[in-house]
Amino acid sequence: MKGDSRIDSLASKCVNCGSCLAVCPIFKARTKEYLSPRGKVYVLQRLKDLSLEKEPELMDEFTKSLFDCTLCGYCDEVCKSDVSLIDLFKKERKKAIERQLYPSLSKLIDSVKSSGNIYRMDNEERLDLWFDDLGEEFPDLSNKIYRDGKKASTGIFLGCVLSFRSGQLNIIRSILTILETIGEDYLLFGGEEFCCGHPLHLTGDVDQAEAVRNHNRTIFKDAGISKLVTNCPGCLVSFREHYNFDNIEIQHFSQFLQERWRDIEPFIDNRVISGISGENTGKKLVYHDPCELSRICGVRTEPREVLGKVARYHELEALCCGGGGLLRVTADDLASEVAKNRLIDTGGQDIVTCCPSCHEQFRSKGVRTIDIVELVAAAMKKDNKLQEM
Amino acid sequence: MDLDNIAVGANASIFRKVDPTSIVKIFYPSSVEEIKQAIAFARARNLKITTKGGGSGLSGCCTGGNEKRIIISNLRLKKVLEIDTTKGIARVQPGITPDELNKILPKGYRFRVAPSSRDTATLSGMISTDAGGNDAWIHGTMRDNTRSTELITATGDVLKITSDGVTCPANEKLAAELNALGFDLHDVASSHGTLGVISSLEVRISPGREAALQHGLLEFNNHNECGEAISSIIDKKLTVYYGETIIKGMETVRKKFRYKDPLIIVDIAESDVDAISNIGNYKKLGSEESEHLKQLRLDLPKMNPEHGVQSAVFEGYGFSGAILPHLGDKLDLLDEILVSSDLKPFLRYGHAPSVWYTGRNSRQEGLIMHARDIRPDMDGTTTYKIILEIIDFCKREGITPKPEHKYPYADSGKIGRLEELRKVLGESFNPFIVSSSVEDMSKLVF
Repeated sequence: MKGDSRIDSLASKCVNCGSCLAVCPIFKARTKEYLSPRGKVYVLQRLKDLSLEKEPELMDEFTKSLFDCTLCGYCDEVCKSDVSLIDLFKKERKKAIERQLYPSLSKLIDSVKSSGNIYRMDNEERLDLWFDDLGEEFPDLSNKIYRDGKKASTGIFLGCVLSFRSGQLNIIRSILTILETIGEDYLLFGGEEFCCGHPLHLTGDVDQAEAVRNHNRTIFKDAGISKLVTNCPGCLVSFREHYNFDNIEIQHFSQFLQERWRDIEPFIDNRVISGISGENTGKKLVYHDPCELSRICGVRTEPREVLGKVARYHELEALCCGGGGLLRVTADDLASEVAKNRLIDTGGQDIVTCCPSCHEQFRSKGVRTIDIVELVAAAMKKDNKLQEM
Repeated sequence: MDLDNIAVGANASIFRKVDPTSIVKIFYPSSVEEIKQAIAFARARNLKITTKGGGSGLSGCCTGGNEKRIIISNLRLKKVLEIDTTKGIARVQPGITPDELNKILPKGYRFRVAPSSRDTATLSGMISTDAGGNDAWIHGTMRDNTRSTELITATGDVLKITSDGVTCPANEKLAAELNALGFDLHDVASSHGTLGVISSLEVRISPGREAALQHGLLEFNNHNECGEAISSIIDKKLTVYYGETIIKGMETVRKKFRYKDPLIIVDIAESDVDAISNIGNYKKLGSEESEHLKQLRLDLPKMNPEHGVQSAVFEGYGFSGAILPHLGDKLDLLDEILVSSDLKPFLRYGHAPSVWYTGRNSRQEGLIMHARDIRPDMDGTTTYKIILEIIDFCKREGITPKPEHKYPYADSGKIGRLEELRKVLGESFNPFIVSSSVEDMSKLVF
């Protein structure tokens, strides 16, 4: 902090109005001023005159408080003083690694460094964990996995959560169903796909983040893709903000669906549409905006357009599920509390979203949660797999 | 030192250089019982007590100065206790904001006080500063929209206060003593946390507007014309449901602003459109344009200039009566003071026509002008001297200093009344409001 004029400049713009406090999901969950965005910026504003840097324990506590944040971006959205709060917090977060405040974060970094994924698993498992389950359904699948010299126009980046978490299997199935049905020329990257670097960036470990990005850049180039599609908003943020692609278009899967709707529409089965609108469960379907998709990347209309074509749904105020910003790694209880608050808003209805982290958060609370790709894929098939969820 | 002790000093006023070591404990109660426990904690240790809401106010009363004290936050006191549309009231805990309350009121009903900080300001903070908003001209300030409050005293007695007086079944002697002094709701309004902890409020709610409205804009060639127009609107008692001015400085934050300030954005009853058309250069606005301008006005208190940072060094001026037609002349004089003190005048905007109260309950009508200036690197003592100079200027020129967020330090009528009441209620709550020295206040300037 000392001498960091950029941080000084960002913090000094804050007029302490408190609009950010009013919308912060962490503040709502814990109601402590130091956990609000305003409280955190105010501490930065007082660093010098209170000589806080001479109090290492207090500074450690402060640095840790920056991880009590989902980086949902709502504070940035309501701030009229041009303070990029999440930019400010991300820059300060790296001190947690330097001071080894969170063993869980150090493990995460080591895991990506040694394994290429956040779960410290053999990276080949990215594919192996679900390939056997889906191999029979998609007989040509092995030809859609990247290996040296294999080319395609579209790269599908599944990301760590989708690849490794068993609860996400039907989402992968749905993605494949859509791609195969419309005859897309695509490749998955299997064991060659490394973590996108986003979690590392959130820890502040810039160097390690760049190392995994470089690996991914190499395989994207080798595969000759002109379009990279991911269903994970965190990966999307990483590609948009840090990969600096010249010739590769980046899309969230909802954007891909919207763009390719003309190709998808002929395969839509109307009978299925009525069945997945929640009528079979007696519940309404509510759309949950993933924060990183809607607030950070500004993707709001495409998911709604696609959703509107296959289901009747209800809007919700865009609020955080607690699954972002590495909060589940640093303070899982807090993440869980944020999720519970979000579920009060959803009123016990079925949730549709398009982010694996949001999906995991809600399902861990026993709430029926569906991804948009699952709805679209189910609408394309008569044997509706949604019923299994 | 505890991190929360530092963070709790955050507030929108210039008085935010709070000494965290002076705060002994912070309480976040969620019930009357927990408020009483916090008060008892302070009483047992002879500590002062400061209450804090959203911290969006500009008087600095939520800081509590720098005396050894506890802070009682109302941010967990957000329950709606009762909504009765037949009586037109909502009874709420003190930590709810206008936006939160309006969100859950039955369709068509609104709580009518709408300060620009309505997303953050809590109702108890608003009655403590007698906040107003953009339709105060029609609906009044917080005191006009509050039917009763419950206030917990330093001894733990719960007083119910209305405009008719005070009741306290558990301590009738105290109630009688306060009633003998004429204690009522007007005393709680603008009391800046000096009398007790507000534990609930009964506020007025009402259904949609009665009159058909037209959105419009009044533009002027100069500031004196603008002041004259506000004076005429007041004299003619025109039904301006929304009246907001952008007076000066718009081009510095919106280079392509298509209108020229000074201007007044209005929502006016259609029956009064002819009357307002005779007052100035009036034009009708479409809903979208009107909303755009209103949002812009709402955002001004938080918008920074291209270079530097805006500062609410002295954010409020009340222009009323005979001085309104001389608005431009007074603004020039004010700018001279600011510039000679190295401040750079930045934004001038505010509510007009509007109302505010001085002393105990003296109603004023006119323009509440907010000011934001660019302050160079300057210590608290120098800044506070400028503030005192501005107050002297206001007194000389017949301007009310800080009419909306109030500046009790400059309202001898109000200070005297609070001192009278504190002799009965005790002096535990926010004593710095009534007794701070220049030196004390200077130390708080950020």
